[in-house]
Amino acid sequence: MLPSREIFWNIPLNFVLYIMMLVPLGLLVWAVYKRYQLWHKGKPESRQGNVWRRVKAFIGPAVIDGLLHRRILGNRYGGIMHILILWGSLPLLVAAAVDAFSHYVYDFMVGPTYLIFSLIVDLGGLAVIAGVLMAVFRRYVLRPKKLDILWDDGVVLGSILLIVVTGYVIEGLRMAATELPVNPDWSRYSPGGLVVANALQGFVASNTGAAEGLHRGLWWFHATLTFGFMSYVFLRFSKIAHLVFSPLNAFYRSLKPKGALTPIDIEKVETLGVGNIEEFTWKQLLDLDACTRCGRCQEACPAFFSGKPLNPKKVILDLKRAMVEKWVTKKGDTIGQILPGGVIGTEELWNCTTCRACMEQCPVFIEHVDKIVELRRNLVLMQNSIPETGQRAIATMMKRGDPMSGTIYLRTDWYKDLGVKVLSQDANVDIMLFVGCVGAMDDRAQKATISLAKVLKAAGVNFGVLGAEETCCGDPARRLGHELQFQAQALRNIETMQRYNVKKVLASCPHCYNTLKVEYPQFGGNFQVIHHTEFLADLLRSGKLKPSKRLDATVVYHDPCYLGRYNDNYQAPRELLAAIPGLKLVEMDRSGKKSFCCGGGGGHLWLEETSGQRINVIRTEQALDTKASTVGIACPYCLQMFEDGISRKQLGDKLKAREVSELLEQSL
Amino acid sequence: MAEDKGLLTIGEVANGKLAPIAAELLGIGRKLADARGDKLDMLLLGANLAEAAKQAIAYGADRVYVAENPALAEYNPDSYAAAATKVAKQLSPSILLMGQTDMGRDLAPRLAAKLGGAVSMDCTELAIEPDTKLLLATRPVFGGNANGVMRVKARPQMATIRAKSMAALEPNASRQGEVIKVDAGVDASAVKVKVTKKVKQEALGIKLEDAEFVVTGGRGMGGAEAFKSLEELARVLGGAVGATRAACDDGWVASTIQVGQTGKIVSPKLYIAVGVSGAMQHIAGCSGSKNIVAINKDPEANIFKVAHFGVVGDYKEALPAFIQKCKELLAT
Amino acid sequence: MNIVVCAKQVPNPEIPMGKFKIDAQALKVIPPEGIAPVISPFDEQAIEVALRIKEKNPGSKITALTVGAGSAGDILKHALSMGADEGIFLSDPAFEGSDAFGTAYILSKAIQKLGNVDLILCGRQAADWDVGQVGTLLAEDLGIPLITIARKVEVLNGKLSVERALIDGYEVLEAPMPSLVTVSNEVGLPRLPTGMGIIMAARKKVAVWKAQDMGIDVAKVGKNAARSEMVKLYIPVREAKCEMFQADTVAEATVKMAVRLREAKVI
Repeated sequence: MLPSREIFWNIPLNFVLYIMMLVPLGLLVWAVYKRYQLWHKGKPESRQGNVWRRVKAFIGPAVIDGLLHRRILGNRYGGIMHILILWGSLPLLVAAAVDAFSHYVYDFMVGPTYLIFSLIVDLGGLAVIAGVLMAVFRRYVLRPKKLDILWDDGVVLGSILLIVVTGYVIEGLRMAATELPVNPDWSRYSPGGLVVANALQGFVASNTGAAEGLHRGLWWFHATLTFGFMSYVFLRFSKIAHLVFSPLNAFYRSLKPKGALTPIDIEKVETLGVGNIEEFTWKQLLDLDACTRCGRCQEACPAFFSGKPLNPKKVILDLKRAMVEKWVTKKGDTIGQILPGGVIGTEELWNCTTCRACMEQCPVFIEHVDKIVELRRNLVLMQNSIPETGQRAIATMMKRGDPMSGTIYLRTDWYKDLGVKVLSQDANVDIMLFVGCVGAMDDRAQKATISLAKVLKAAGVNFGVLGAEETCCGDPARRLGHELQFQAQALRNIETMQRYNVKKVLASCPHCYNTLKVEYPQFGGNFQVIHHTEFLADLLRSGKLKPSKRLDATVVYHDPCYLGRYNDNYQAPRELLAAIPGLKLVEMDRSGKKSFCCGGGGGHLWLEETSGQRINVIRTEQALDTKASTVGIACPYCLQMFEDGISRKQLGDKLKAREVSELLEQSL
Repeated sequence: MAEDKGLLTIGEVANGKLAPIAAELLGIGRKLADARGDKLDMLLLGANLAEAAKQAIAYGADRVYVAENPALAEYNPDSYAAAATKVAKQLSPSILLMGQTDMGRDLAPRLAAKLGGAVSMDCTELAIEPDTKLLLATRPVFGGNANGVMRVKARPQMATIRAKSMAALEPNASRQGEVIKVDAGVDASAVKVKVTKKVKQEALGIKLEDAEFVVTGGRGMGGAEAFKSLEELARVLGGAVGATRAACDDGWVASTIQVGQTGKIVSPKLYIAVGVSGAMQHIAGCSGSKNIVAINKDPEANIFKVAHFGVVGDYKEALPAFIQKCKELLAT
Repeated sequence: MNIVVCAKQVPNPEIPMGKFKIDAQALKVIPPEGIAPVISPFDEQAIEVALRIKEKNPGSKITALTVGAGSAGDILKHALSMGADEGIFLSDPAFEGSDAFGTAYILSKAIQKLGNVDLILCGRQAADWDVGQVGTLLAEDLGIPLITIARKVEVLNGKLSVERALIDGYEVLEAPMPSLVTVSNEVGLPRLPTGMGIIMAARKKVAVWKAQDMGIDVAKVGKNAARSEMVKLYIPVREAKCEMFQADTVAEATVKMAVRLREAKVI
């Protein structure tokens, strides 16, 4: 006899099961529809674009991040736990469908197919139990800071555990009654069930009637519990609903360049930024439902890490609460409260350095930074609320075109003695260097800019600058929420560059680089923008740049957020450093995608840190821990922040901060 | 245009005594009057002016016009403008000088309007043009970045002088001069603005941005306690205390007094940086100062590159002596 | 309430130290390349004061005036974006070279044309020539009460209550309306233009009034009517080097420095 089993062995009226199943399925449809209605109270936003492009773009993350857990495994324990539960449950769910098919349509569950199938399902159940136990242990025993505890967590974990365990008991009872006495060697393929079956064999043999009754009872209990749990999930929008919302959110995730914030259409708007929940777009609202409270964003956030009020997870959950209280429960303290400065405190909003560490970590592609900037826009543009130093930076930008209030330099000072071409006098250049305000007007960053110019000259590059005609790229204004000033800056620079027929732009500041590269196209400024480390690495490869002098230094490279995470340039700077003879390159724990912000982004070069530890000091200490003698830097903001961190901790004799160009110049 | 009739100064009185600015006005006034061959007159407004009038003569006035009226005991813009206008119209001076004080900066333009003259404000030098005998007034413009020399065409030619920019003469009690009482009646209908309250603030209460003297401490001060001596120096000079970002962040002082790119921008007459290394973000906040003094242990500190006066040394040795000497100098 | 704010465009006073250049022949300042002129900071603060009063007295109307030529009217857009309701550019070739008296006269004619004004605010002085007289002369021309160098301005029971900044404190003055108040920097940082303010300002038009629109007697304005003239403009020589004081002890060195500071009239 071929191995198989009788599906619905002793269960009468088993078709009722499929009727019961309609309840959670109906609730699923209802829940998605309800939520869909909720999201569509938000503003329209086109995320459709080319559907095929979106589908294609979805398949990658769906497989790599969804099924293979690349992002989720970024956290080892949580990743393994999640993989056990998800990969364990899938066969269980599939089994139900396959059983039905085999029972009603075509019976193929016989022979080796049945046995292998049985084994996979059984092991899946064991994996789920292991995963759930890991989850229980972590949430209730280890209690990591990033996890909060809601009763939903208990219901979810308890229900899953109970469902799987009752499943094994049912299986064990059936095996003890029908399999062990007849085909004991089949039972090896159901190791979980076998344990139960062995334990119950005596009872089943002596009380056949009672065992069958128990089996029937448990069978219905298991079915009711499963459907009940599923119904609960969709009725209560439990976090398990992320099975639906997360793939949906991933499907509609942003496909625009990572560093491009959404522009405000000045011609059309009536309010600016987001003050109330309905001013978010539907996708920003969908984001809120997609959150599983996993806390990875919180763990990655430098502001939270340094003890500041901002917690990206809490921001998302608070916004979700505001959404639910306003439109679903219609009660709660967020009702009638403005979001920025009410539901989300102003200090939290100003804490964000827009470093994108949270978004890089989020397994379900939630867009934290975009929301924070929208809320800042409302604070700054509608409520006129901005920290005094940030206000001064923007006021200076309005009047003088740069945020460097109080500088003793003009933009044209640094190249006075270098013979650098200025486009207004000689536009015959191969590439234009966009210097940036900090690189031109901060005396420390100036040195790096001068080194870059010398390196370029040494490599025979025909470059020029806009000189006095350059103005701030607008990044600080945009990240501080002053979209209008940003747009004014962008339009002005685009007009100037187009006037000189500029095609290729070399940017030494990752902030300018990101803004020119991915944000200026929003306003018709399409230039080929290259970061100087990319450009110099090309020169290196083509042999035009030959670092030859030894530089006996151990250098730890710090990834700037706007070069690394935002624009995926991790290699060029390392390649340049590695090419310097004698230079030893080491890494910090948090490098590459996980790089820890220097504390200067998101307009923070112009804001004071009013609470917690200083982020730049933390980062400086991380660099010091590598025993490196020098921090290699590729961003004028980072340079300023590290210099400050070094002087605060009086580490000048142990650690130096050097721009990559400076080290290269020394080696030429 | 009125006929040239001499040089009138409007003095100020504090607690019955001639205020220092009035002595300074007489010092420069004497030189100008001598250069023109004029008499030097001073008008005093207020109550109980006898002693101040005597002092004015000792400091160089030939004639002191005394407008006494209890209603003028405190400065009121309207009553002072009315009284001063009345006297000035009678005297019809060719040159009229005042101090750039609370009173002068308010009253001088009013008088210029009422008398048909024109005034150069906040002058640091005054001279008589040899050929024309007209007043040449030198005054800082563009926030002190440049100096402009003005020649006033209208009569009276008016100027206010910046305090402590011109020297007073040594008082000579035996000098002879006339004290002339003038009608100081003020038509009540001319007084439309009422002073209801006067609040004196401690020198330390001066806002950092407005202070003429700023004493700033940096990380070199080592702790909150050390800022006490800076406060004392600020008190002696009548200025305010500032701090670098490092000192604020370390919690030694309130962040409201931070000077620098992310703090307050100051441009006092004198900026004293103690234990300040001179990070650019800090220099950005004080580079507009007219004079910068640096006291720092490190002779290589960046602050000496922007300072005008410097001492290399520990603030603990430097400050007490410096404070003591400033006290002595300011008492004279 | 109808509030008028008088403002002026000046070269950006935040020009970095040492970058300041003049044309001594033409008696003019040469602004550094790439740095645009701005609204004079005290005038910007006068707008701030007007906006604060408007916040407490809803329905008030703020009109910003400036006298000048060419792009000088741009500051009115700034005033509008901060929240002013209307901007009027007083511009006529005849106005060129006017001194404080001429400027005050032009403003007075504009305000008379506007009529029914309750409060006029000016900056205490313009950050270019630092003359500090236009406000006073304007009040005299209009024959209205004047309070200078205000650090706080409020309207209480139909009267003005103004705190006037003094060297060692302040005094509170009361004046009827209409009056003119000149505003000092103690009022605090002027607000950033609001987002909608910038958008609305871009859509608004600034009116231009010429001499004849205001019935101005051109003999009273312009260079020839000026009551004083500049005969020289120069940049004071400042010792570039730091003067270091040395002695046997640090204390003695600082005493020498204190004496030197006194001699140099710094203290």
